[in-house]
Amino acid sequence: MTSSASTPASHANADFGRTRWSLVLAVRSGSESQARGSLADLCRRYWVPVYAYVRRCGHGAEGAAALTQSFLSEVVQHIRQHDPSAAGGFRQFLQEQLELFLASDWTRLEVAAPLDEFAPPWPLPQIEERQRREQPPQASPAQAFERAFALEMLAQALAQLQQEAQEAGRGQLYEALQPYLTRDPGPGEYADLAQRTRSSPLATVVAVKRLRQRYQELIDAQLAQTVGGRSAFEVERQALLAVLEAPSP
Amino acid sequence: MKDRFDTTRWSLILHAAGGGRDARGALESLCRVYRPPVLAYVRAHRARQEDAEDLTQAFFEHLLEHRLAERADRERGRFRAFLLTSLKHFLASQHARANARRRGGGVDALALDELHPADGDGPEQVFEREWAQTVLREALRRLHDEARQADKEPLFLRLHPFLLEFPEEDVYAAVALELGLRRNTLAVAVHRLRGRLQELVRAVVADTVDGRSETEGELRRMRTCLGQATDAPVTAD
Repeated sequence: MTSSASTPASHANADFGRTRWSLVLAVRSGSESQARGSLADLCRRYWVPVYAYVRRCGHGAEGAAALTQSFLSEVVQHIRQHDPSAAGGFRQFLQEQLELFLASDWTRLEVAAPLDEFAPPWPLPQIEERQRREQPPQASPAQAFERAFALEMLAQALAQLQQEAQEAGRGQLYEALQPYLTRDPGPGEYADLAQRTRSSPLATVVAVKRLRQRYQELIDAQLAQTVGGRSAFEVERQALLAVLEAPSP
Repeated sequence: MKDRFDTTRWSLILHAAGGGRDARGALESLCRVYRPPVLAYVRAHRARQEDAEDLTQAFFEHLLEHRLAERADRERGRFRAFLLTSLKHFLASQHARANARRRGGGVDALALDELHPADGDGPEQVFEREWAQTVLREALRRLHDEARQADKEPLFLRLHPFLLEFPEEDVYAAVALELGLRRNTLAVAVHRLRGRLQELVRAVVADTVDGRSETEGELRRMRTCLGQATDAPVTAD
C-alpha cells in the first residue's frame, strides 16, 4: 500500500475536472464500443439505487427489476440526446429522471425497449438479500435511492482499494487490515495484527492510517465523478455522510 | 395532470359570503359524493336499520336548506369534520324531538335510538372508514373516466385489479402476453396507473379541505383508517 497511500490527499481534486461525468459523457460522445462499455459500467453502478427506489414503491422483485431495466434503457436515450451535466450532480439528475419516468402519463405505452446491458447485474435473490441488509424497512423510495447510491460509491472505492493492493503485491496485508478501515482496533488488537503481518506495532498503526487515507481519497474520487464543481462536491459529500449516518436495519 | 386549482369545493363553500349559487352547487355535489359515510354512521348509530335511508335523506335536506356559514366557520378546515359534527347535531335534535313526542304519548321510530356498535366499531369509526373508502371510490371513478376519454378503457379494466395490489410475477407475464405488451412496458404502465390514482386521491381529498396543509393531515388519517402499507394508493408525503 505504501506507493498508493503516498498519493497526495488532493488526488480527488486534481482529477476532478477530467473525471466528472466521465462515464455519462462517454456514452454520449465515445465510439460505439466505448459507449457500450460505459453503458455496462453505468449499469453496474446505478442499477441497485434505481432498483431500491422502485422496490420501495411496493413492486415485487421481478416487477421492480423490469421497471429498473426500462428506466435505465430510456434514460440512456435521453443522455444521448441531451447533455445531462447541465442539470448538476448525477445523483440528482438520475433521481429526477426516475421520478419523471415513473410519473409519466400511464396511457403512454411507448416505453423504450429494455437493453440487455441493463438486465440485473447480479441474480435477483442476491440483490434482494442486499436490500434486506442495507435498507431500513421504513425508508421512503427517495431515501432508499440515496442510501443505495452512497453505498454503491463506497463499494466502488473499496473494490478499487483492493485492486490497488493486489496490483502492488500487498493483497494479504490488505486482507488483514481491511476490517479496520471503518472501526478502531480493540485493546491488544494492534499487537495481534502486527504479529500476523510480521510487522512492528508502530508500522501497523501507520499502515492502517494510510489505508484509511487512501480509502477516503478513492471515495472522494468516486464522488467527484458525479458532480459538476467544487462547491457541489462539498454539498454532495455532506449529503453522502448524512445518508450513511442514518440508522441501518 | 396534477390538480392545479387552489380553490377547492370546500374553500368555495366556506368563503362564499351569504352562500352564493356556486357554493350551494359545490355543497350539493360534495353531499352526493359523501352520502355513504353518513348513511353508514346513521346505520351504526340506530337500532332500527330501515329508518337509516330516510334519516340520511332528511339530514342532507336539512344541511342544504339551512344556512351553514356559522357552523362551517367552526369546522373551518375540513368538510369531513363539518359533516360529522352537523350529523351529530342533527341526530341529537331528532332524538330530543322523539323523546318529547314519546313523553306526549306518541310512538316514534327514533324511540329505540341507542348506540349500536354491532361489529365492535363505534359509529365514528364506521363513518371514518366509509369516508376513506368513498374517497378511494371517487378517485377510481375519475381514473376510469380519464381512461375512457383517452380511449384506454380496455387497458384500464385489465390493469384495474393491480391498483390496490401489485401483481404476482407469473401474472405479469400472462397479462403482458394477453395485451401484446412487453413485460417491462406492463410493469411501467401499472406503476404509472397507480401513481395517477394517488394523484387523484389527493385531488379528491383536496376538494374537501381549506388549504394544502390540511390535505396532508387528511391523507395520513385515511391511511391509518384503511390500515395501508407505504405502497398503497393513499400516500401522504
